[in-house]
Amino acid sequence: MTAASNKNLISFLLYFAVGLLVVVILAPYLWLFISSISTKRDLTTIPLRWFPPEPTFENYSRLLLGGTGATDAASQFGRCALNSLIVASMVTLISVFFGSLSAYCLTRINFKGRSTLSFTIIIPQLLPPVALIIPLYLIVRRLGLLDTRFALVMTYTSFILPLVIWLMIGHFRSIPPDIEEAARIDGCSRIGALFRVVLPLVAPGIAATFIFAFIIAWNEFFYALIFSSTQSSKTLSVLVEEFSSKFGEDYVLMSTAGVLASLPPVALALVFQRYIVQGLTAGSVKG
Amino acid sequence: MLLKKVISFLLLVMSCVFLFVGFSLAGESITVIMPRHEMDTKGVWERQTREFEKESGIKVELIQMAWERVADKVVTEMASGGSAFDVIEFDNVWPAKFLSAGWITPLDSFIDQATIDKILPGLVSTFSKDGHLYGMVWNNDTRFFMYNSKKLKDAGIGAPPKTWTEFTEQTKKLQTANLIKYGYIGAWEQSQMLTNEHTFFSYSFGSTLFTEDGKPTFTEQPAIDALTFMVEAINTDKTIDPASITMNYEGAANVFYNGDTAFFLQAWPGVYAYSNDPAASKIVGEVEVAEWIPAAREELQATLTLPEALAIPETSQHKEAAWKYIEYMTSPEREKERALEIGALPTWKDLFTDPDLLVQYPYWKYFGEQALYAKGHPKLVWFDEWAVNEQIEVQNALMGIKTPEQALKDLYEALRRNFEK
Amino acid sequence: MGSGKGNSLISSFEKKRNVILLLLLPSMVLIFGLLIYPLIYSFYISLLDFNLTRPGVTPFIGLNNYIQALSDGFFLSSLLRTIYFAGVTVSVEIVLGLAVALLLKQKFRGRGLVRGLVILPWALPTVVNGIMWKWIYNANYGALNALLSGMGLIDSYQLWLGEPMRALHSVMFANIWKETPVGVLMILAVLEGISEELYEAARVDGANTWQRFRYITLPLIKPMIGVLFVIKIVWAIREFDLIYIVTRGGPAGGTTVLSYLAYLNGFKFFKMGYASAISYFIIVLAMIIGIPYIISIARSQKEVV
Repeated sequence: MTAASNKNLISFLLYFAVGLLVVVILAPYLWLFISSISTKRDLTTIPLRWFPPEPTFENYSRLLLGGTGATDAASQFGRCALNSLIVASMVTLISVFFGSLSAYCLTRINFKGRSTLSFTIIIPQLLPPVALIIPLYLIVRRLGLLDTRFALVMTYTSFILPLVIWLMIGHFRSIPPDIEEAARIDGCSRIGALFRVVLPLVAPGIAATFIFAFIIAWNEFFYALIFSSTQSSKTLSVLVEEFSSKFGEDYVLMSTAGVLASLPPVALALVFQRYIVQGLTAGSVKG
Repeated sequence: MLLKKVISFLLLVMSCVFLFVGFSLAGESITVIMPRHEMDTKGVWERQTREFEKESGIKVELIQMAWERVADKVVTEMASGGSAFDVIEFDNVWPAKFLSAGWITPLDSFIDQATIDKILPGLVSTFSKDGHLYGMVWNNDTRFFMYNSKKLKDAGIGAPPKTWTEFTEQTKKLQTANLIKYGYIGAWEQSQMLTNEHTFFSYSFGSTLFTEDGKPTFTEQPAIDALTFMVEAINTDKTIDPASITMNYEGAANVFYNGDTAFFLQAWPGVYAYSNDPAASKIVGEVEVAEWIPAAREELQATLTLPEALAIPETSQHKEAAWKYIEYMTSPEREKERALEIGALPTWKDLFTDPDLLVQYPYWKYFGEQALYAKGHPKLVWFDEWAVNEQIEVQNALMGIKTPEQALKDLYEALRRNFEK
Repeated sequence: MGSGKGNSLISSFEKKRNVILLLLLPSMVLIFGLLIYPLIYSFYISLLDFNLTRPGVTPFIGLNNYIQALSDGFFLSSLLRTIYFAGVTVSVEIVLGLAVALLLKQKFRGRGLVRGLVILPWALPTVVNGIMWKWIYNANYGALNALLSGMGLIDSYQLWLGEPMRALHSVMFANIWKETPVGVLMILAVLEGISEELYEAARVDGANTWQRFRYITLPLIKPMIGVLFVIKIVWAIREFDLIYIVTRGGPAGGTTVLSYLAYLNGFKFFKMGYASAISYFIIVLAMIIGIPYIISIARSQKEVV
């Protein structure tokens, strides 16, 4: 086998694998999208119509513009999207900022009990919400914060921050400590070394963690359901649920809302993935 | 304990202050939490609520969510002793447990017996205990036997089945003529819906599952026969779609709308209208309501009623206003509006003979016939525990993991602690 | 204040303590400020016979709720199911995540777009993800049945959710589809940080692809894989939404995991004490899985400054 044909084979395999990956990821999502522009009649035809004969975007206009016959849930779409955006951004900024600092401390500074502490912070994550919800609800109510975005930011932060700390521990630990030592020998203070040397190195990690935290906050459901009641704090994930009655769910409307609700996180991921790559140039000294 | 008292005292003071301020500033306001009526795609309830605001000067915060979610929110709020809600959803299987938790205000001081007597008696008894009424029904969700008359006609069948034997015969005939895949598809996934369906079949075989005072009878022969019928229908007779055990109501209804089944044994009122919507259904104009419900023997016929009511929590600070809202929304006038606009079934006896409604919904005459045989679920404080265990064991039987007899025996064992109390 | 060596030791000690406080305290307050009371409260409740249908009667019963759980066959089978669910989904997600991350590290056309798309499953709201898969698995009109029978792989439509183990595997597949992107994202971020020069140097030294992976890539992504393991186990153990939406714990209880069992007992049966005990069992379970990991962190951390 010549080197050239070998190379061709490898590149064929590469594109084949990428193609397979894209199909596995996109197929269910594409089906969700097709469902959202179909009628229920199309979806229950056998053999299945893989594409509706008359695609309709009526559901989208109902959700985004209200329009005739809009249900109450549909008309709230914009407000709830805004709530989701505000809550998720706040939580993400707070968690990634404080989480990175703490993760740095837990990886790079030696002190007694730090591994126990690392484990302790993740423990509350283990309790199913049903165990915590009633006492949490009491607190939120006593603080007069029911049905406010602030209550959601507070609650989400307490759950997402430990995850962010752990992920950032993972990222910090993938950087050899000697780089930082070199910087400190060069006269940087610890904090100085953190900001000037270490943080740029973990920039890809921070970008990835940012996306991660944003999406969890964006999609959180149970606490949002219990704490928020009206448009003043209701998030999209709760609203999406409302397209169901006690008989089951309106699949067509729900798939429309699902497609719309997943767009902002995906857009964010597309933007941030550039930062993940750009980290390469910043981190070229690593190793 | 002391801390708790101090805090609750402070809360009381705070809420008094808040109340006072609230009164002096903007008139009274109440918060209502309930699911949306499944047929209310036009927001009629919302509109009527706004009309109430205008007429009464009481501001209403209306929270409408999916039924399951309303349940979660109400339980959290009530269990933590809160007073955030003034009017809550009160489902037909909740009264026993909510009342023993002491969460609900009796309506005695608000409504007199003469008025109560004008409501369908089944709906009153479901929400009453020891002679006190606790909830006013806003959604008369009673189930009716509907069928695809065109398919029956095409197969040369004159009338829908009266007994399960006839059901099997007619289904076979329809299947042979290649008109349908199965006679019926149930919502038999592991959820409350399976509890409903299993209860319906048990009733139709003459079992009440429990005696009036809560003694279990579900291990006796009629209940075993009912479960055996369900098991054989999906496994050996193939008259009921085996996919039933993965279906919820929506999923099952879709099969009926698609013309793949001929009978809808426990259809809710909205199915009729929906089956005539060309965007969702392939059986437009083919559905009819029967005058009876099939059962093991004709005299055993029964159907399920699963009404939802509105109730006032004990902790509400605005009970008067809450009642005014309930009274307005469940009044015969509002109910007639909802009946005309979205086909919601009334709760007042008189409305079933209302000429305007009968012109628009001639088939309601048959609803009335069937409603005579409507029964609710057994009244148990531990209803949900019964329901979940019932679902598990019934599915064990449906999948052939256990015989019907064994499954019901195991169900008894799983719940033994509750009977012995 | 004195002077000399002793003083500088103290001050550097104080300085270090201050730095630690500065870096850790805000996070600790944000995490535990809100959660400490609920954590204690729910543990306390787990020691009571606390049933909402008997208001005011909450006798202290010690560990009875825990003992009751251990003697309940349904609890034990849920426990095993939870371990199976978590063990399998997490292992598959991490292996797949690593494979996909390595793939996306390669240079190919449209790489940026594919990297963005990879996040799609994770970005879908859990509720929608559940409903979507429920429709795909639908026994009568589902896309999976249509696809497989169209390709001639199955003769008749299958009940994907109609048998306990099969339903469990179907839910696990939906979970893996949704959660694998997290691993991809994190491992890819670490891979991006590794300098090309390292690989160049190794190539010059004659290292083959496998050796470069084994001696450069693997050691650098190992900490991240450990972290992902912990986070994903934590998540998988309390998986709730997907089960709630797709199967509601059925058929015949075959997909009931611990968090769903806790929900049933607390919110449906009103047995708050028992529900809390089940919840605390989840913590015990995680501790058992987590302790070997703590020990391993403690060991490897000695190497770091």
